[in-house]
Amino acid sequence: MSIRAKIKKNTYLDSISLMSISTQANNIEHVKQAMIGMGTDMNKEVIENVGMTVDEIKKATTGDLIIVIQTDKEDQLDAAMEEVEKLFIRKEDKSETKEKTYNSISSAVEDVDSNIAVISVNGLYAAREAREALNNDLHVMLFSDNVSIEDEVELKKLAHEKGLLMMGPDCGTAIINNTGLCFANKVRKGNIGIVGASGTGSQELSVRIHDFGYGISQLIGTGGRDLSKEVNGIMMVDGIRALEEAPDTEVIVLISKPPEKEVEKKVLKEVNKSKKPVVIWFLGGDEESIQASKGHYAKGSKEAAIKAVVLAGADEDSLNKHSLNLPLIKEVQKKLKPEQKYIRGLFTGGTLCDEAMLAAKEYYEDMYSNISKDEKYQLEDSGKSFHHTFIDFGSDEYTDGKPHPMIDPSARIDRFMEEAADPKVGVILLDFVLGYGSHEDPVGAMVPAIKEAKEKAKAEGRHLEIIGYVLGTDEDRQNLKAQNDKLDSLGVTLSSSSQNLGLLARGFVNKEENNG
Amino acid sequence: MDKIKNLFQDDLKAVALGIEFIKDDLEIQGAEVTQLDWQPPASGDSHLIELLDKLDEPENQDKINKANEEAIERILNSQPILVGYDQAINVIPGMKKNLILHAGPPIAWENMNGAMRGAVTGAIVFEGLAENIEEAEKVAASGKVEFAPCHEHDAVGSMAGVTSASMYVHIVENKVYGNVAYTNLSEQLSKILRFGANDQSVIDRLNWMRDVLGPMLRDAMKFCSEGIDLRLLLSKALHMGDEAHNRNVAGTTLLIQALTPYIVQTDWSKEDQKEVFDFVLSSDYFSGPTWMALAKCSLDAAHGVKNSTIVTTMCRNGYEFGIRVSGMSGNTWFTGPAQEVIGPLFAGYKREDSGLDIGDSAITETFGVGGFAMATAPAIVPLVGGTVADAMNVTEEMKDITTTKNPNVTIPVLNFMGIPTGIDIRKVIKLNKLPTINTAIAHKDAGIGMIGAGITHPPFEAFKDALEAFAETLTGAK
Amino acid sequence: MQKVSALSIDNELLKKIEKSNGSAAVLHSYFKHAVNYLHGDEMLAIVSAPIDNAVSTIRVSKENFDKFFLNPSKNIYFTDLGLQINEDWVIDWEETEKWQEEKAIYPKDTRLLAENISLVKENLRKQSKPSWAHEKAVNKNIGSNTFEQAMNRLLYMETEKMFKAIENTPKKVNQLNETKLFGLGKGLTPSGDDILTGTCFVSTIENFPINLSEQQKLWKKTAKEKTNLISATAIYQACHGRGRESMHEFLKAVLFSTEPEVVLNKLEKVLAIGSSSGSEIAWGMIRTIESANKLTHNY
Repeated sequence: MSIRAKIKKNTYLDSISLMSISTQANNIEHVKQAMIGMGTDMNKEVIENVGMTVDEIKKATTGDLIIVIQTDKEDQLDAAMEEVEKLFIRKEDKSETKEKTYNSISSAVEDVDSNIAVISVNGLYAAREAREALNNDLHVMLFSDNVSIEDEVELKKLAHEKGLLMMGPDCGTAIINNTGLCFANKVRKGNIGIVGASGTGSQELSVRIHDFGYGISQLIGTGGRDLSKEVNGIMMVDGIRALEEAPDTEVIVLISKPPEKEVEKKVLKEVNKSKKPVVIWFLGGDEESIQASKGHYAKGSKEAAIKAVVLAGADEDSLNKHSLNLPLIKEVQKKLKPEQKYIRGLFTGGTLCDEAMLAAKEYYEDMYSNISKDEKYQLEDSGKSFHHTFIDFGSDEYTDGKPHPMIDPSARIDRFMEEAADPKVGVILLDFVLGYGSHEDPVGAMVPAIKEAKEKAKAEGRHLEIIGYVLGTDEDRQNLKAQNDKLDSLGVTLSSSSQNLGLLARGFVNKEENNG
Repeated sequence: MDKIKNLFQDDLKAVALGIEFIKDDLEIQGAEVTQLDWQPPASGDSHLIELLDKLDEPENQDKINKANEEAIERILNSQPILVGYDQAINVIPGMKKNLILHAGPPIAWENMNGAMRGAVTGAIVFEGLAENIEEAEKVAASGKVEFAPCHEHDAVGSMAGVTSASMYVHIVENKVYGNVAYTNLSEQLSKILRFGANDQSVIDRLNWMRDVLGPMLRDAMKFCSEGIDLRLLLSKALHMGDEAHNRNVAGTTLLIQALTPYIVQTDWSKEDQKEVFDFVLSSDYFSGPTWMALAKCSLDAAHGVKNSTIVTTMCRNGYEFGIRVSGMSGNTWFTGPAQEVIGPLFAGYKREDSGLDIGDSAITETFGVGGFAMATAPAIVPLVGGTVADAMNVTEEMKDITTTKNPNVTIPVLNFMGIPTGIDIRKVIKLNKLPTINTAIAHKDAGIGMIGAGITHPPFEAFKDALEAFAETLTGAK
Repeated sequence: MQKVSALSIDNELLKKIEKSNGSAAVLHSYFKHAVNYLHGDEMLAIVSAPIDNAVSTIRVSKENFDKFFLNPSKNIYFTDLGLQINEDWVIDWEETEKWQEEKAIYPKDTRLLAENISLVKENLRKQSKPSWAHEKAVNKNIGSNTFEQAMNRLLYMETEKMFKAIENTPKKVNQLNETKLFGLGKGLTPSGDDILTGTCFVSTIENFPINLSEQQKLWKKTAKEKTNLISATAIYQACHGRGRESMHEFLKAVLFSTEPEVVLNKLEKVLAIGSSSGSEIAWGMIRTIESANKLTHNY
């Protein structure tokens, strides 16, 4: 038996490291046993009692670390001690290396090969960062809002000159090379390219296309103001051109709120030049001018998706289009009392809100909303509903410093409880957006409120109809089916698409049968 | 469109700044992401951001970048040659018998700290302008002697930087641009004038330097018709582990190696020569001032380039820290309070004993050595504190506030990366990242000397004022 | 100069710091989650966010110290701004929660105790890192080599010896001058020290039926010679009833909680201390309470 000891003066390692080194030391080849511990008298005594003591150990003091090893043969000691020493070195090395961090885009690109900047800093500072990114030849996804329109124009012009993508400001959704940026769903890769001025609209389209068995080549976001007079569609036009040249894109889909007339003309001119079929869904847009441009007009999101997949090669007859469940509408109509005549839509996705509202508006005049373009139908008090009311909780007046409702559902939950208690309310619409960036369990967050509301309504002897729409795919981490199952188990009516959501709602509260 | 096409065919390689979950989600999808350690520019000061934005307007940016290119070119192309030694009165422009040059930006007698006062009064006695220190204090306060920054006379001075008429100085000539820089000789030991010591032993040494060391070096250099190429020596010294501010062991060896063949040709006696060699041997700092003169010589060539935002001077007088910017020509100083130097102190001294940051030696950092070249001098770590990893990081970080890397002076351990050169006030303000300076710590009282070494930074105000003044000159914006 | 906000700070420490403005503390040791400084004879710790509050401890809002002063400066200074570290960091506590220890009082009604004691003991038996002082260690020769086996046996015997002494003369414990628990065992704070910490901590609470004060007087003096400073400091403080937040909480739960989940939850927090230190401290605490309970109930 051979023994060797080593003293490390004034060495304090945390207990966990000490234990792990001790365990590893006992596993070193030829080491019969190893002892690593603080140099206290008692430890020294125990070492002596088990016959492992050597002279050096006596010199150790309480703040020192003692290492003692025992091997069968004398000539194994050197190698063994060397191995034990290595256990310490590795730890020290690890603690010395700091991962390199960068403070600015310029310094990062100098060292790291990059092709896109994803910017989500406070809007006050966002434009200068975007400019720096473009000047370093990076494409930009600018998630930040509160960027001035002047800055937006300047950035987009700069990007256009340099042949770069300038997605945003206020661009929440993009999918580049099958990678979702910010708020995006996990969808199949395919041959349909999207240029979208609307985040949730783009998400809805990509999900519907995925649902029909097709996929997305690229989803280019432009930011909500791209088709305004000032910005003049710079990004959308560049986006169309980019997809036009992209070999894996066979069909192009455009989404936006209705653009300024002049801007629309510019965009449609580009559509006219395109050799690839272009489907256009401009919410509430003008069918005639679109048809004239060779574009394929779509009135709603599902319709846009159907047209896109058919143009991309699908057989229209074999698609499961999830047509409206008319018997269900009749059934619900019967359950609601006469005074329960209003729809209340509580949305986290702006475009989802818009689309449902447009559908309902075809039946009812008195549609009020915080995002209504017509002043007459603007909500007077954003905290109170009036007749049919549709709220986009993603709007500034509801977020005001708080995270987006897709991340933090609390504001909507409170409002939901108020609406549910209103005896005039027949139907409440709720959307749930899945995917990257969104809440990890958006339905789950709402479950207790829905339960409570349903029970209360029941106790008061009225039926409360809740329609839920979950925007997502089975590949999203929140899982579409799991989320839908939760809603179903609470007696919530499920809508299969954003488009159907509005159609169902308007039917449920409709008392004039012939309109159903 | 080619760039978009390339993007569509490539893997997504993102730089992300802002919300963390965006980065996380990208990583989950297998994209390569570099998340910046981002802070609002200028720490969110809206006025400074406005100025930065103004300077970033394409037309302004163009002007500035062109001017900076020129300033940088002048720094890099400069060839500082040590051509000789002589008495200050004979060579320094504007030098006169009753003029005392000092380190840092301009300062009045009443604001000078202990070390500076000690050095000034010592020099007054040394020049025979007063009998003793008490009298010298009266002379200094009376206005009979004039004070001026070394920097305003083409010179630099280590620590207190006090330079008077009969002291010997280096003469360093810029072969490319013709300008000349001066700096006095190292006094070596720690109880010396530049730290404010002024007793008889200090005066005796100054006398010897005036009567033996200085003239011998002057005579020696007369045999050296080509002069000594300092940049070549500096570059070698960095490869040998000096950062040329606080560590000069290699540089001193190289310099005396270059001087010796000429010293031995002079008529000075062997005894005198031995005394000089012993003196050089007594401290590694002998070449410290030489590198300062080299830096001064190169940076002066770049001073006064219209529209340039490159810093050409950083210096301290123990009371204030001053900088000059190339685009603001002449003696336009921007100052802020001198800072504390933090680092290990010699045994027996406490933190309260330290004087504030002092000396023109930050000219080395302005040039790109010293703190900026810490990565090449891991041996300095025990002296200034921190770890080797910290030292490497400082050099890496200084890249963020400089414009280029000097290909003539490189750091082997960083793959022969050039030293970070050309501090840009815009970058300093934007990143709120100040230059790192390695420096000695002087005792706050006169006559005690060096009590440690460490690291310090300039005051932010100096850079802020410089940016504001620059923006006003360039664009009229206030 | 950048500011790091403290998350919480021991109120007693704060008072001391305010008195010491201008002075310096010297680095003693540093770890991934904690840095210890010596201020005169006293030790103070700066710990990362996941660590619980404790005596003489400042918690700062860093997940760990990998990037933040991993290589801390030799000295830190108490200044008007706060605690200055290196040249560019200041820890300030202007808006920080001041942590004040709340000491438990031994209950008059001890009916709860027996149940909670057996609950904790049973649970400690099941731990993957059982207290080495536990009987299991001696029965089964636990330990991967002869050294560890010898050490565990000794730990067990010394621990039991201590409690026997305590139970023999509960009102005046003074025959433990020679206990071998100090500095005995593996780990940064050796196991024996952790048991002593647990015991001392519990025995100082008001109305506690066992009186260890005479013994502790001596222990406080000798701890520094017998074990390292980090360990000795913990024992010293425990003799004054001072310890970590998790220890206070656990003690209160054992004495007063009727809910097993609460007791076990608080135990978990103690177990999180160090590598095996937590289980030793908990063992020291629970055995001491058990000894006390035997007296009050006389069974």
